[in-house]
Amino acid sequence: MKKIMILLLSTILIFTVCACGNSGNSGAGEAGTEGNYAEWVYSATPGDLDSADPYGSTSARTEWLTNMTFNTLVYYNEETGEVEPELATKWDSNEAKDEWTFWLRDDVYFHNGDHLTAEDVRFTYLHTANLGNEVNVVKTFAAGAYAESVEVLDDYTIKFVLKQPRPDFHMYMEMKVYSKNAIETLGQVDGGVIGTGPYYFDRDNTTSGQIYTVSRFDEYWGGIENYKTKHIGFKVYGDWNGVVAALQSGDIDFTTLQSIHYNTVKNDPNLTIEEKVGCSSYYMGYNYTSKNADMNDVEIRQALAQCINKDDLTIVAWENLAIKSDNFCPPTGVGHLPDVKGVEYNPEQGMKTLQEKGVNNLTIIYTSGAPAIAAEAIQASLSQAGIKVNLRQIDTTNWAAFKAAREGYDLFVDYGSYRGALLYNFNRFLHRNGSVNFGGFVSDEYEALQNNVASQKEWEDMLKEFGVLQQWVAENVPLFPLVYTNQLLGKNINVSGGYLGSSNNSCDWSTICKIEK
Amino acid sequence: MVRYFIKRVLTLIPVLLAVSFLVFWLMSMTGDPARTIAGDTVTEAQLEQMRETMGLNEPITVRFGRWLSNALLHGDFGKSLYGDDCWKEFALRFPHTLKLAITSILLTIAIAVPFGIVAAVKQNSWVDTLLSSTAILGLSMPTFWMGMLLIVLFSVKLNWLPSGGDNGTILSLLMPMFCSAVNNVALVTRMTRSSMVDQIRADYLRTARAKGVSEKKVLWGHALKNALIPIITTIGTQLSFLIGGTTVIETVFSWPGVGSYTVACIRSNDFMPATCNVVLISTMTAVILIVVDMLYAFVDPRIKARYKRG
Repeated sequence: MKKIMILLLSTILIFTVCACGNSGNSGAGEAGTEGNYAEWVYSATPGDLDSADPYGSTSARTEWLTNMTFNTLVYYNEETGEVEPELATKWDSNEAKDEWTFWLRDDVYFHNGDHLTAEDVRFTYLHTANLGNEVNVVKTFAAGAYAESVEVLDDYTIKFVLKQPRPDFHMYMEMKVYSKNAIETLGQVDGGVIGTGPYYFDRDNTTSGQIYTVSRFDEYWGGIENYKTKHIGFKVYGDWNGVVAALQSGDIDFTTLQSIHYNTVKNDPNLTIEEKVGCSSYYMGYNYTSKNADMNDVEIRQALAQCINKDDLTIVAWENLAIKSDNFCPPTGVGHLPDVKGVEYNPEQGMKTLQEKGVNNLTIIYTSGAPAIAAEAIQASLSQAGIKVNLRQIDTTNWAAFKAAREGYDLFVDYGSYRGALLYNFNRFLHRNGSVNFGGFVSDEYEALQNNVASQKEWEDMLKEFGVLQQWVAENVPLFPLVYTNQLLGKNINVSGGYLGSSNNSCDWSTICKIEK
Repeated sequence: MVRYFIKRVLTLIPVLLAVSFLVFWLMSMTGDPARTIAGDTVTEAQLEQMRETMGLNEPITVRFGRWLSNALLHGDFGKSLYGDDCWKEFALRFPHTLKLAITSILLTIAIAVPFGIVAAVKQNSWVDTLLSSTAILGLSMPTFWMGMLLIVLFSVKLNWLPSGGDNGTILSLLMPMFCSAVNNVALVTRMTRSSMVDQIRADYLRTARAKGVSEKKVLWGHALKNALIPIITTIGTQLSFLIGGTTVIETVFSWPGVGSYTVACIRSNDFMPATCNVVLISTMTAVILIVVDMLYAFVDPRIKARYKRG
């Protein structure tokens, strides 16, 4: 027995020694500084990177990474509301607005040394337009179906001939550009990660399930003066609680936050919080095939909206880190009309209408987190109006499919990231063939108003008609906007730079840096 | 003995085939991978085209047959929705799970077996009461809760240990190892105690003592050896459970093992890696159970004789 015990203790000792050996993060994380700036800055994400290919996944992690590793043809500045040059130096259209020409920079190189030409832009547009043709291209490009043909006029000039006039086509061209040569020679998985951005996807410092890293591309066409950090590592954590604990313990330097962690971070003297009005619109959707209430009846929709107290909702579900909304198009959205008037809180009127219409028992579906709390607040509001509301939480995995089936619910709480050209989001959410029109909203009046916006030939006229559309949507509530949530960035007090966008799509951490003490 | 071993291995084949099909079938029922990866930005027509490209429209038996033949003939367990090789992803994560499982079980043995013996020897004394109470406390403490408390104390407040991940040092291993061992220590302590109590009272030990055999030899040489069978069974079961990936521990401590990865795959409808992980873990669990069965033979000659008879 003594021998067994000695053997056991020896084994423990061997394992302890083995565990002490450095077998982990492939060298990621060695301390070092460049000037006064740390060479490594760390962030974290709950979950691993799906894909380093900008069209390989729709997740926020992929967006963050590829915003650093890729450039776009043009850049939509959400602070000014203007489209700015990036890979294209200028653009122009014919008078009919159905032919758009873009002139490219001639000094741009991909991370593999390929020279960017108009062929790469043409290739990217066509390659990503037909979703499903390529297994690992899963993200559709908004303007992918707009062009009749794409012509390369010379190495640095490209022309898009559109199927119909679009005065806002340039706003859609925030398109991350692939290297045609890289994809053709290396394949989609390896070639699809090669961009022209200030950072490149660093496979050597990436370990699946533990950390993914971008490293500075020293030959970046825009120069590297603004990019002080050599490596930005994203550690993989199990959930948001783990991410916040890592921020507090100093294991990571910055991360976006959820509103429930706001006070924890705010009260930590070593941390600071950056806030921004976000473009994520939370809304209550209606099931237009509901058997418990005829949601096609605008009076019922308005009455339900009248019963919901958005002030309570903002405090309860978002701890005041959101702004109540009347307009589905958020303040950061293109063409946002600030003085849109929505349905006002009037529970007495709402209750009266709902009683007259015989609405008394509804089911609301939602996912976990803020939507769940919002759904409970909606239940409380509607209960006061005499409506019995059944709550039904759906797992995120089956959320989209469940909504699309339009059975077993009357209302739903959901949110959508609102970014892109003028009609892009209204198209997705409210058009009869829209990809996110889960409730099944159909209205000839709405389609006519939308077509009216799209058929304008001048940008100013489009904006004017878009304002009319926004007001119509606010009054007729095909969906009921609840709040715009704030974007939150928690960081160590020594960390500066980076751009907190109004959505995950527009966050860019490439200028983040950490001053060493 | 060898014949028994071969027989056990052969019985594994139909079991593993059934498990593979069951997992493959259940995973394919859980959701629509095309919609998962495409998100909310695509129309139904585009989704349908994606399903076609991904081969999701074929019958389940055809898909399973192709997957099985590729796995058995070429070692190709398929690819994740994002193009990663399932086997490579498993092989990358399994060493982390194994490291956590082995160190945790060794810690369990090192603490629980002596504790159990002492509690049995000092039966009904204050030592026994203390050890038994501690064991009950360990058993009843939720692992995730204890994990979070440890993180807050040792990472956030004291800044001694990393809050998560496996950075290859003992420091990152300490909290997850301790956390996953606590429940097992409690269980094995109780098992060892009750098994030893039965043996200590046995007639053959009274005879041994009467013949003048020293108490040390009676305890370690005779009682423990005969008490080992249930202890080995418990430890083997716990080890196979740990090898399967302690999902809660891996999630709380962001440990990059197979368990948390499998759950992430299931949640994102990525059923190829999920199936691959579950099948490979099932295989390993079955192998561990065979090894435990074999260990019985070394501990108990009666079982060895039974194995020899086939």
